[in-house]
Amino acid sequence: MKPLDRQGLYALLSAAVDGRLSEPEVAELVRLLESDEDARRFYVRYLDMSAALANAAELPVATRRRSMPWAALGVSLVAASVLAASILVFWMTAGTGQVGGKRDPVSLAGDADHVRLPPEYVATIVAASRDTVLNGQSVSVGTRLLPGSYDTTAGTVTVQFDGGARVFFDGPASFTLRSRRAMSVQRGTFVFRGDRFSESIRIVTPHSVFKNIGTRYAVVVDAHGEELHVAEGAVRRTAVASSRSGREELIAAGAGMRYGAAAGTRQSIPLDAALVARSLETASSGSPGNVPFVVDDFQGEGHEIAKLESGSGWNEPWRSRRGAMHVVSPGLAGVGSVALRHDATGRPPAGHRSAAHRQFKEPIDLSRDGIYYLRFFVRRGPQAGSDEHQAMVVLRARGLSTEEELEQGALIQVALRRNDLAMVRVADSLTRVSLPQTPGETYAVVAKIVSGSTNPEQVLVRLMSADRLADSEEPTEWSVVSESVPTDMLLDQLSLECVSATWIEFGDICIGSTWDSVTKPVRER
Amino acid sequence: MPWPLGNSVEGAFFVSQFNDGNQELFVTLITANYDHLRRYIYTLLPHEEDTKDVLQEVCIAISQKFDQYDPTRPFLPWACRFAYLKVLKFLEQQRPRRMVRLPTELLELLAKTREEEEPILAERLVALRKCLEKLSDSDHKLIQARYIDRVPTEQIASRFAQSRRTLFRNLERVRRLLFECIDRSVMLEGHL
Repeated sequence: MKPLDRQGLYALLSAAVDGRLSEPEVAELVRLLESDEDARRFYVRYLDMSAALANAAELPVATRRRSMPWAALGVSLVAASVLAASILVFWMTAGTGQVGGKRDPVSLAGDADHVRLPPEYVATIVAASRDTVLNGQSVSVGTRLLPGSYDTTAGTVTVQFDGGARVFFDGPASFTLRSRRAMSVQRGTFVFRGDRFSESIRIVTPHSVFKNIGTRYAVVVDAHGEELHVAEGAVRRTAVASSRSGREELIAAGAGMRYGAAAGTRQSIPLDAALVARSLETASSGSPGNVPFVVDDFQGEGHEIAKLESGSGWNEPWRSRRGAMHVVSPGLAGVGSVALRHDATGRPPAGHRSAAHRQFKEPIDLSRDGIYYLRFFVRRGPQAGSDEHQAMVVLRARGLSTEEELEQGALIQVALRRNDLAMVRVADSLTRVSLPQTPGETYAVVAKIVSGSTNPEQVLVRLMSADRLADSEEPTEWSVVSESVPTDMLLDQLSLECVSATWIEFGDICIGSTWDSVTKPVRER
Repeated sequence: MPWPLGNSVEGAFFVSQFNDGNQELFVTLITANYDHLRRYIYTLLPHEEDTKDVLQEVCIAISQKFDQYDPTRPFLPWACRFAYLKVLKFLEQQRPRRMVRLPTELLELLAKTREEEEPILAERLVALRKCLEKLSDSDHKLIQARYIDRVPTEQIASRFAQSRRTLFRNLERVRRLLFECIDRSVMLEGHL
């Protein structure tokens, strides 16, 4: 765009947002926008900025430099905006008796002004070779990534953005995740794959800004410049040197381009199909298929849960002082398996609750970097009336009173409630989603617990038909995703808790450090 | 690998979830994307009151069609399509309150451009906050009056002892300062 056009657009757009464009000016604006793609981009950016100004709640408020009067404005705006959303929510749910899913948004807004909110994860490592070293450490598939800088010194790694697009790095590379939709790559070779359903990603390199349009493409970034190879879709590329003017070029599928380190130097090159074909899947996973460190199939002496010694990785037998859970056969994992059954059918309300607890040997230390997977089977009978009909597995710190537990937020809860809810609680953060389930159906529930020494904790839960578990791979879509919560809990006890007027059964339970470690049948190990 | 939904048991209960009307998921998604939808509509219909009216229509339409939403796909592009159609309907049915009425063909082009620009817009939004902090106090107050307090322009002009013409010129100047600051900030971030 020529500077003069930019000047003219500033005036036209400012008048447009102030509602004072004359009819000839509207015609001039339309003519400009219809004829010039750069003008349309300018328009979209300008109008979006103006819209954002009208709602400062859109802007982060945690680390505002000025205190007054801007900070005060921010507070009222956040509250106003969230209130508007709350009103909308109330308006949309009024009369149904249903309650919103997440934490009270008004409370969140209030917190936001005083407390720095934990950073949000933006991507996941979905594949890595055994020799991959990322930021000086070996890599576990499933690791969640925060915005920040990353260096790979060896191996291959595939990063999947939360919006669906994947970037595969082959060999040494330096990259920075900026958001769930933007990254920069300082050096290295990468293959990008997105489709029309994934969010597009803006990738900035030393000489270029790339945007995908339903694309599979590869880029080599080295000291001499950059190579681009487009296998599918198209790539919109802007030279960094000219990016302020917004001039772009479109590179279509089948083309290759080389951009020299000197500004403006470019030449067509043949598409390196082999480079782009470096499969994101063939890089897959170097993570060892290890075994779970806690296992329980409830196979033991007797039919009462109390004092039952079954499985491995435990410090003690099961303890139960509330209700009556019994071991029944067959269980939920096929012939020969057993299950733990809560059955309150025909009992008075006092008998609708039952619980059992057991301490495991290796605590889950959420103050350290790690990934843990908790898996269990569950089958529930029909919900009776307005009964809670809740099956819950809790990871907690043994020895705390209920008050201490609540005060310290020292627990992770994974629960299925009524016939249509799945919930996860991490410390004091509760996330619920509507997820209808069929009475009598056996489900496998896998909870992935992401912990970090400096990063926040997050729990992702997948609910699936139990017969699909054994052949499954770690999903990219999760049924419930908790908020990111900073906590340093040390969890060493597992509790099974039922609240139901009918029946609930729990099947094999295990805890491991990889998806594979918890998805294989316990009895086949 | 994304999880197939198909005719599996798992697929069946995901589908039934939306046939039943998943209000909680709806509330979560609409709350998380409410302001983004507002900005999207404003791009096509640059008037704040018109935008509010259309946004309300969009929320109703999404709630009615929510059983058609595929939760394995991003919500926002799906919701934006509703917003686009509602803007067209709004323009067909009633006269916008201001003069900026863009032809349908151009609206389609702008919607497409906006879709391509989304990653950049997300970065620019973050940069806007930093740039606001760099404004002088008097420019802050001007933006506050115009956008936060929503004071009518005549009153702003009176409060700042300016003519309307000068006021609009100052607003144009401050917006330009912010826009150029964002340009610089985004490019700088891209090189870190």
